[in-house]
Amino acid sequence: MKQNKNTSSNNSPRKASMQTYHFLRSLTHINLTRPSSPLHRRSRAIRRAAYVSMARAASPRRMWTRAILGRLQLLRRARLLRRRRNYKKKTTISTPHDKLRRLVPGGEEMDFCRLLEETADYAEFLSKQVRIMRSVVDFMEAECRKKEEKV
Amino acid sequence: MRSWSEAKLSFREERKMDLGEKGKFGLEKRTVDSLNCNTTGLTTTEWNQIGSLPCPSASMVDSFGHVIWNQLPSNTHNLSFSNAQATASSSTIGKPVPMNWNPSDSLTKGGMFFSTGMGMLPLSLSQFPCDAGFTERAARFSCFSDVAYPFIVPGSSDATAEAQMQKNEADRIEALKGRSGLIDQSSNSGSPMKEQREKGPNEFSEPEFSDDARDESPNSSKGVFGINKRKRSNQDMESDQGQAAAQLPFEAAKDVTDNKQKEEKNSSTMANVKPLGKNPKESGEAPKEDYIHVRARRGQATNSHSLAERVRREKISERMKFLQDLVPGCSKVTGKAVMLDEIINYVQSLQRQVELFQTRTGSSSVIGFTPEMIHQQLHPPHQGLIQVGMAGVMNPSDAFRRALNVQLASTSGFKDSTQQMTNAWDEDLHNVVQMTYGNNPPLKTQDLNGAPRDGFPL
Repeated sequence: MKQNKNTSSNNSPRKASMQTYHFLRSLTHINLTRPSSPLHRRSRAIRRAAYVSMARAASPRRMWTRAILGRLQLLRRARLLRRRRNYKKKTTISTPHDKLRRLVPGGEEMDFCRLLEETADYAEFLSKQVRIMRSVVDFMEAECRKKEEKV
Repeated sequence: MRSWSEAKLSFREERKMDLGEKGKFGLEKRTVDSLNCNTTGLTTTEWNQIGSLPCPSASMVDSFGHVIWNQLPSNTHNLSFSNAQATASSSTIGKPVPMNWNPSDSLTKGGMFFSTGMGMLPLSLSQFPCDAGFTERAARFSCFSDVAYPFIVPGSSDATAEAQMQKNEADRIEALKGRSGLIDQSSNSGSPMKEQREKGPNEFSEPEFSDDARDESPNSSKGVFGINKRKRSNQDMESDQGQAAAQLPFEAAKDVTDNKQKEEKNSSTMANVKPLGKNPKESGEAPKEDYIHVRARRGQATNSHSLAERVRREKISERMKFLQDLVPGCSKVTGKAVMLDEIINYVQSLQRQVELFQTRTGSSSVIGFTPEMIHQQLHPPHQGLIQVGMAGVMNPSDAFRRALNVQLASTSGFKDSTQQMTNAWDEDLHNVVQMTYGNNPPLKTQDLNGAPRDGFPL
């Protein structure tokens, strides 16, 4: 049985599946390691897992990918060192693109042209992620319902 | 060049085959085939002209050839008219020659491969008419005629002379590519046979290279021109075929040089991105090339700054268009500012959705994921339907993955697609969930079940 798990989990040929795979793997990790933690922490962890799985599935050449993964490493280091790092906010000239820059991870230091590119890529993966999460939630809630019915 | 490739293929087959394996039947077949593949326009008349190439080495060839040709079967009767000259030309032509003359080498050495040698020769000869490379070589040979003749040393041994000819031919090919200058013709190395053999495999690549070099030789364009000039000037060696062949590379080279000159002329190069209908005027001469260089369009400022700005603007507009396609419901919106707002809204909504789902997942994941590591075998899923009850995470992951793949492959638009997908998901998941998970659902899911679903028009 475990072999099935290994074999079935190892074949992830496509990008969408990569994203799913990463996300679900991190979900299981979260649920296995800390099943009893409060909801907000878990939800935050899930959020992180979602973004990281997105970034892992995307091309590492993307700025937002690197930004997300960099943030993750920063967080890890911060947790290890028990220190909180303040994200330095660069004082940029206010442009109409400010909002977008804030939205897209790593968007602060890009020129507008690049920003648009990154936004497109980011939006694509984000929408995929939303789809994945929605399906996961639906799946699990369906399970809950079924369990309730059976019980 | 179909015939060329065929000739090469057949030649390669020869090489792979054991020499002793070649039978006359095979050769006959090949000769017929190669004769049938006479598509390059080399007619028998041209072939005759090849045969009529003045070759002072005829005497030498005769001395050599008659040994072989005496034993030739009747299958070469149609080539027999130009035996001597054919052998001479064959000796000069590079590609099949080294292989041909390997048996000849052995022949000279001890006549061991005699049968195969004679088998080889008609094959090589029959290859000539449909050998496009042959024309090239004939042309090249003609162009090097003034230099070519010295290598035909009447007094030298047959094999060495032929070896030298082949070697010179190979060297000439190299020179044509601009790799090296003209060879020292008089260099008669001690073991020309072995060099031939070594050049045998080289000859494979070299004709290809020569073709490539002819087509796209920026380096050797001058060299080609020079060679072409020589081709023009040399009339003694030129047959019609040689001229035709010379014209081919000449034209090709000329095209190459023309392109090159065009490139050189372009001080400011082309912009490959069209504006959003602002500037319809474009200079007609500018060739469209996919370079990063930008050419100043007519009626526009040629300032370098403005050029760069224009490029940048065009890039931005290109990307905005792409984003327009990506974000649903933005086809009607025009203008950068509005578009930008829409994009911002879209990204914000996506992020909010993620947050919403994360809480739901967090709560409901307590049920589903913890106990399971029971994995059942996944049947290969039909389109989205997964019949197996999935207990563990990895199984759902596969199911999700496959279903996602299916869905993602099939979905095109945004708005309806995700809804469809989720609906399909519901079906699939209900089909999927056949396993009992065994855990009681926590209370919070009941709360969440009542929570309104996201009405985001995705």
